[in-house]
Formats: sequence, structure tokens, C-alpha cells
Amino acid sequence: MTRPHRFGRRLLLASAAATIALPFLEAFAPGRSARGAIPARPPRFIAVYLPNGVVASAFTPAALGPLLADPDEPDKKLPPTLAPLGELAARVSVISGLSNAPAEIDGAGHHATGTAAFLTATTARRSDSAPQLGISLDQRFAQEHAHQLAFPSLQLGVDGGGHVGDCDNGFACAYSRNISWAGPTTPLPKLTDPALVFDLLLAGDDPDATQIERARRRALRSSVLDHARGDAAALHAELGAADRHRLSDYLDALRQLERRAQAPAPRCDDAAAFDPSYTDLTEHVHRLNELIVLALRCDLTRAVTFMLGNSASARTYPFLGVADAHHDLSHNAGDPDMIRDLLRVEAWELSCFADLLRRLRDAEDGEHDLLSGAAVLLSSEISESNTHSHRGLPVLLAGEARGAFAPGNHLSFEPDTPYARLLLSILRALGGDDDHFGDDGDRPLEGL
Amino acid sequence: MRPRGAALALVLLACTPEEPGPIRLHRLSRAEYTNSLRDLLGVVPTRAAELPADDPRHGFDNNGDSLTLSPLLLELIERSNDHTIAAALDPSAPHRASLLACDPAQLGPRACARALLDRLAPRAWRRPLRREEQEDLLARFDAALTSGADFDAAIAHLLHTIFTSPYFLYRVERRAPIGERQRLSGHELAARLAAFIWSSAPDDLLLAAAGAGDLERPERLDHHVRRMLSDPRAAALVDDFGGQWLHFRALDHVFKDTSLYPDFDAPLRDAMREEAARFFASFIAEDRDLRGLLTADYTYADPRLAELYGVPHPGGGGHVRVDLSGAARRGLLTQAALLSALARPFRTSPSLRGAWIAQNILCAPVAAPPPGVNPNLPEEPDPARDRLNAHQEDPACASCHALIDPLGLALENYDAIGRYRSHDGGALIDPAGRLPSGLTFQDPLELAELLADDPAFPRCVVERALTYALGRGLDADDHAAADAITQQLEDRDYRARELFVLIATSDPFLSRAEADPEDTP
Repeated sequence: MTRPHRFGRRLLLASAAATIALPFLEAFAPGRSARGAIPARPPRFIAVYLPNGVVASAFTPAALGPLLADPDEPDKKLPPTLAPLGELAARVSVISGLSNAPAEIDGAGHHATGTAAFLTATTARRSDSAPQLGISLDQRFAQEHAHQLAFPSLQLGVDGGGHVGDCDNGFACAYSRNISWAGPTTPLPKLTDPALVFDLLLAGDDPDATQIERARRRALRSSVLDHARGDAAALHAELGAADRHRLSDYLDALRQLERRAQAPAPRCDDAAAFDPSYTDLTEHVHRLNELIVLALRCDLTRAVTFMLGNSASARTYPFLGVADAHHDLSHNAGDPDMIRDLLRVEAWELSCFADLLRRLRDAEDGEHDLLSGAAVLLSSEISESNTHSHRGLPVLLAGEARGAFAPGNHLSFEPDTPYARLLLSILRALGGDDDHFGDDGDRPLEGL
Repeated sequence: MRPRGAALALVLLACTPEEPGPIRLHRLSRAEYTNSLRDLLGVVPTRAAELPADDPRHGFDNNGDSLTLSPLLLELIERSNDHTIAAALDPSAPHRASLLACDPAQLGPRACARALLDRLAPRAWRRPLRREEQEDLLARFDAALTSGADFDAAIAHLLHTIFTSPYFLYRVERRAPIGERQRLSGHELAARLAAFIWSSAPDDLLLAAAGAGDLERPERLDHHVRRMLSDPRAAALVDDFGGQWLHFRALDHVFKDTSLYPDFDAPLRDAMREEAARFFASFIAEDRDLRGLLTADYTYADPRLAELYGVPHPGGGGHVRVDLSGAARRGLLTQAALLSALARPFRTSPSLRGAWIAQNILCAPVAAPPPGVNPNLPEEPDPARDRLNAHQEDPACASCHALIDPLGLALENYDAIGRYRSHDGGALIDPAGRLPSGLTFQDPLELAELLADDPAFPRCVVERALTYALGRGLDADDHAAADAITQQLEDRDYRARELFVLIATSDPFLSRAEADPEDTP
């Protein structure tokens, strides 16, 4: 195994005198060392969100223990919905028994609260004017382990805006469209266009420009941002608390742009081969999966969230022979035709997830593959689609998170074990020392 | 004060009204950003389409509370600024000359930069610049030149600085003393007016009026509002207010079962949206009685849509005004855009249609189905009326559906893409019904007449427009103002332009209140 490439304290002191010519960030930004090498196996997190829950009977394995057949049980088969995982199931655990109690509310709005609590395990405030939630897992992780990157985190999805008017029974649309929250009032919108994602990730200096020209452009950009910060400081003095908060979002965004303006252009070998075009939904998802792997492989980001549809998605899937809207199907009251259609959608969703895992497995990460260094979570805003419950959520956890997890099994916890404990476990597996997460993540789960 | 309409009283609500907090920092919506840049630089900022959609609240995506800003958004704004500024300064750009209006070889680069700054920055920041702000910006222009940038690059830098500033990206309003209602300053009002009527920045006339204190004089304010309504930029009221209130924006995301509705392709969908937009625009352009939105016997159709409606089209390619007097169609409730958006992919949905009318035409909030209720009715029997009988049997459903169902069933003669039909699955459709008020109707056209006569309708129009104009949910004072505006609107024969004039000159629009003690610094 290659040694992680790190700047030790001794090295730092010894070379202090010699670093004047090398801008600080150029020397220390991960993935951008002089050799262009990426520090081996930084922690990585991906969350995949499915709208509208799943049909549990086709998702949950009948027995506990290994998911794949082994000499003891040569006839063992994956449940129908998980079948697209195939051999990849050895790198995935199915976790049963978890409940996201903070998503439970009186009255309607379960899609909104479940989506809001998906990565926050926090109860969403019922408000169309002033939504309030908590920080999401990917953001907490990015704060600790990726804040110095050009893209501390990346938010992706296949649905953009789309909703007109109210989203879910008095809950703001922000809850239904975003799963990443930088803070209680700061949802992070997602990108849907692969070409745009690629441009943003790898947009850099003009390679034809001279050093002097590049330096000048960088200085001009810094001047723009510096001026904006000055204006914001002048404004700040005259605002109330709520608006100061609003302005601090602006200042945070400025800081991030400034960091990027200072850093050298991102580099990623073989990225030029990426073709962002797609002709159907499946290809759209595959292009985004490809970008996730590209961004992780080149350490452009370490935290990615991916919504395979907005909350309570009403998408139809004509290419699967499903003419009805997904959300309508989820209210099936046991209708066998509707369940058949739902299962087609869910198997397709799992094939998208399998595509992502396959790409992660096939990407090198030092002597390992990317999947072994990552924690990849898949779940939904509700459990059994028909009941809109937040108890017994469908949960998959893939990847070894650098040895923290040993996937390949069906695990089951006591009914109503807080889902937040899983989120806390993931946070800790990624290197965090948090002892609490969300409303009810009081301790990590054992045996993952 | 007029009664609020019988229909309203019978709907029971489960929601608690929220106290909307005052906003003093209002980030430009995507539409406001796009239009401002377009109007200031003379080129369409095509990359603004990459900005994520703003989340709607209270029915509109210009709601101050939902207009947050993430690093990604600022990055995309920067990207769009870069691209748009480069396009505006391109030597072949048609507006380059009017944008610069100065020859640096003759007058010197600094004089040209100053002229540009004087002309453009006050509109971008929606107020005059302080002297030190001007000097600071010019110093940055100088520094760019000194660093070796050419004139164009230094001008681009100046523009970039102006459009990245929070003074451009946020509308800023002063705080009022706690517990008091305070009139906006002239420039704050100009910014609100431009956002409301144009979804854009103020023009020079408006800024000059603000600077001269003209907007404090009611007759001058009235003059400017009417002037703005006649300006082509008022098309934003159709796209942003009309498109969201009357739902035709939703068409972008409507899916249909293509085997059942093979005609529902992109051109037809575009034609539907265009119909709804032109129809709404005609009310503003011709200052029509707003109640005609529900009863008008004309619409705008291209050949595809005319065929769908079974009305003659005079020929030619595009949309023309067509007469509906011989057809079973009147007003927006019978337009394909709304009928398609409020239907399932494979069939109609009387509940969706009925609930939409209750909420957006009568402003009667409708609670969601109670928990534990399966809102799916059996697929059989046809027609829908027989299926919907289940609502009346369950008291938990009946309270809301007593209003929703007759409204929705009245539109059953229009299928999931708005085509007229007399039968559903072999059964004759009976659109007749009775409203909770006891009023009865025989068909959708009679229902449209009843709704147009219901005092809840104009009150609802005012409520939606005021919510949009203020960019926030309404509080008790706003509702009182909406009552007063509704009365005045009746006195002015419900003329469409009068609606916008009355709102732009109303107390909530002209002032701000400081209520939230948490907001004290």
C-alpha cells in the first residue's frame, strides 16, 4: 500500500523558508500538490434519495445475514427490487428497523417532513414562509473534512424546480426539493444538467493565457469579491438579525468563490473524455453518476447528494410501461396492478443505484477502489409507500468507509431504532467525533 | 364591507395563520435578475437559465423568505454575469454603442468609465450612489487599467463589480422603528414598483421621480404606475404573476400517457401555454373586467389548438383571437392549459380541478386529505361522479369535497388534455351540480357565471395579486387592506389595470411595518 501523502509538521517547519514563491493554497489544497497527486483515500460520502418510499415486501430480504448465496445457502436470492445489485450486493447492507421519528407529524405533509429529515433527522417547522430545519449529514461532514476543497459538497438531482404553488400542505417547497441543508434556514439547491455540473467542476483558467494574464484575471476577480465584501460589511451594520443571517449566507458564498479564485484550476485526468449528452432519463442518471465518480476520483468534492426525483415525485415512466404518476401509484391501497407498476419503478431506481456502485467499484483509489473508501446511503422519505409512515425505512448502506463498515448483510435493529443513529454512525465512520446528530441520534449503531 | 361569499364559509380549515416577518433584504428572484440584466445591458442573459428555480411560497417564487443564497447560486450568477457582460461589450453587440456612449480615445478612459457609472449604477443599485462609492468603483477601474487590462477589460471589471455587489443582488429597505408602520423612501418604492410590474430594475424616469420626491404625490405615483403598465416590460406580470396564479407555468412539468393522448406533444403544450398567456395579457392590454377571466367568449388559438377545441381557425401559423360563442367553452377554466395541468397523466381529476378552483378562484383554503385516508378512489365505475360518491359517505372527506367535487365534476366534459367530450367510458357525463351555498348550475358555462358573480372571486384576485406584489404572505393588516382594495376595484368596474394600480398605491405596498422583536439588532 502506498503511504498517504501528507505534509507533516516537521516538513512544514523545515520548508517554511522555501515556500514563499508557492502560494499557500497551491501547496496545501488536497489533490493539488505539486505532483498533482491526490491524498490517498480521503473520506467520502454519497446519499441517494428515492421519492415515495418502496414496497417493503419486495425490498427487504426474508432472512438476516449475508445477502448473496454462499455454500450454506446456495439457493439464496436477492429480493426482486434489489436484484439489479447482483454481485454488488456483497458491498451493500440492507438495514431494517430504523425509524425517522422527527419526520412524524400530526396531519398531512409526510413527504415534506420525511424529505426534510432524510439527512437531518430533524423535525421541519410547518411553515410556508419561514422553513426551519437543521444541518444535514453531508454538510456536517463537509464542514469538517472538505471545507478546503473547491467544492466542499455537490448537490445533484434529476428534477429541478417544477412545482408551482404550495408543495406539501403548508410545508415550504424548500423541504421537498432539497436534502442538503447548510444550516437551519439554508437549503442548498441542486444541479440537474450534466454539462453544467462538468463545467462548474472543471472550469479553470484559460490554458492559453500567459502567466501575467492569468495573474491579472485572478487579481481582478479578487477585486470584485473584495468589493462585494466591503458593500456587505457596510450593509450589515444596518440590518436586523434575520437579515444579518441572510447576509451571512452571501458572505459565506463569497468566501467560497474567493477560495476558488485563488486556487489553481482543478485537474482531473481523463475528464476530457466525459460526454454530458443524454437522450432519456436513464442516461441522464448515468451521466450524473459518472460525474459523481469523476468528482470524487479527482478529489474535487467529498460529499455528494443525489435526488432521484423530488419529494412526492409525480413523474411517469413510460419507458418502463408505467403510465401513471409515481406518487399516485404510491397510494395504491393494495391494488395489484398499481403495485406491479411501482415495483418496476423501484427496480429501475435500484438499477440506477447499482450503476453508481459499479462505477465506484471500478474506479481506483490507491490500491483500493473508490467504493471501499466511501459510505453510500440510499433511503426514502417514507417507508412502505402506501402508508406514508416513517417507521421501518428502507435503508441501504454501501461501501466500506475505509474499513469502518463490513457490508454484505441484512441487518435488523429493534423496531423504532432511531434512523439518526445510522446518520451518526456514518458521520463517525467518515472521521467525525460528533456524539450526537439530529433530534434523536444519541449514539451510533453497533455492528455495521 | 362586502360579505366574503357563501362558498368560503363552508370550508373548514385546519391550518394556523402564520405571522409573516418583515423583510428588508430581498434577494432578486431569477426572473428579476434576468430582466434587470437584460434591461441594463441590452442583451438577454442566456445563462441565467442555469440558475436553480426559486422555491415558491404562498403560491409565488418571488417570496422574500424563500430567496436564500447558496455558494452554488452565487457562482452561477457570477458565471452568468461574466457571459452577459462579455456579450454586451462585444464589438458586434447592437447595444454596445448606447451602453458605452463615449469614445475613450477622445475623452479618456476614466471619463468614459465615469459616464457609464453615472448612467448605469443607480439603476443597478436602485438608488443614487454615494460619492465614496463612486470613487471606490472608479479606483477599481483605474487599478484594472494599471494592471495592464485594456479599456474593455477594465469596463467589464467595473460592470462585474456592480453586478456582484449585494446592492444589486438584494433589494434593500430601511428598517422602521419597532411597532410602527413607516412609508418607504422614494427609491425603495421605485425598486418595489419595478419588481412588481416589470420583475426588473427601475428605469431612469422612475429613478428621477423617486429622487424628486414625485412618488410621494398620489397623482404622480398613479401616473407612473399606469406608465409602467403600458410598457412592454409589464409582460412580466403575465409570465410571473399570471403564469403562477393561473398555473400555466405548471405545463412545463406535465406528463401525459402518450398512448391515451398521442396529440399531447411539445408544440401542443406550447400552444396551450401561449393561449393562457395571451388571454391573460389581453385583460391588461385592453383593461378588461377581470370577471371576464371566467366568462370570456374569446380565446387565442393556433391551428392545433383550434382543432382540439373544434373551432374554426382563420389560417396562418400562429395564435389568433378566436370566437368561442358557438363552442362549449368560456374563460380560463375551460382552457386546455389549466385542464391539462390539473389532470392525471391518464385521466381527469375532478378533485385536483375542484381544489384548484376553491383555492385560486375563491381563495378558500382546502386542507389535504386527513391521514389514514386512501385518497385514491376505485378506478370503476365510470363516470367520475359515481366514483366521487365515496366522498360524501365519509364525513372526514365530505366537509371539503362538498365544495371541491361539484366544481371539479362540472369540468368533466373536458378530458385530461382539455378536449371536449360528452361521454366518459360510455356513460353520459352530467356536469350539473349544486354549490354549498345552494346555488345550482347545469353546465360548466353556468358554473363560470356563478363563480364570476361570487364576491369571493374579486377578493381572491386581490389577495393573490397583493401576495405577489409584496413578495410575502399576508398578515391581518394586509387582509384589511385587501378588503378595501376589493371595494375600490368594484367601484372601478373590476378593470384589470385598476387592480394593479390599486395595489401599487395601497398602504401595505407603500409602507413597511416592523413587528418581529427578534429582528431588533
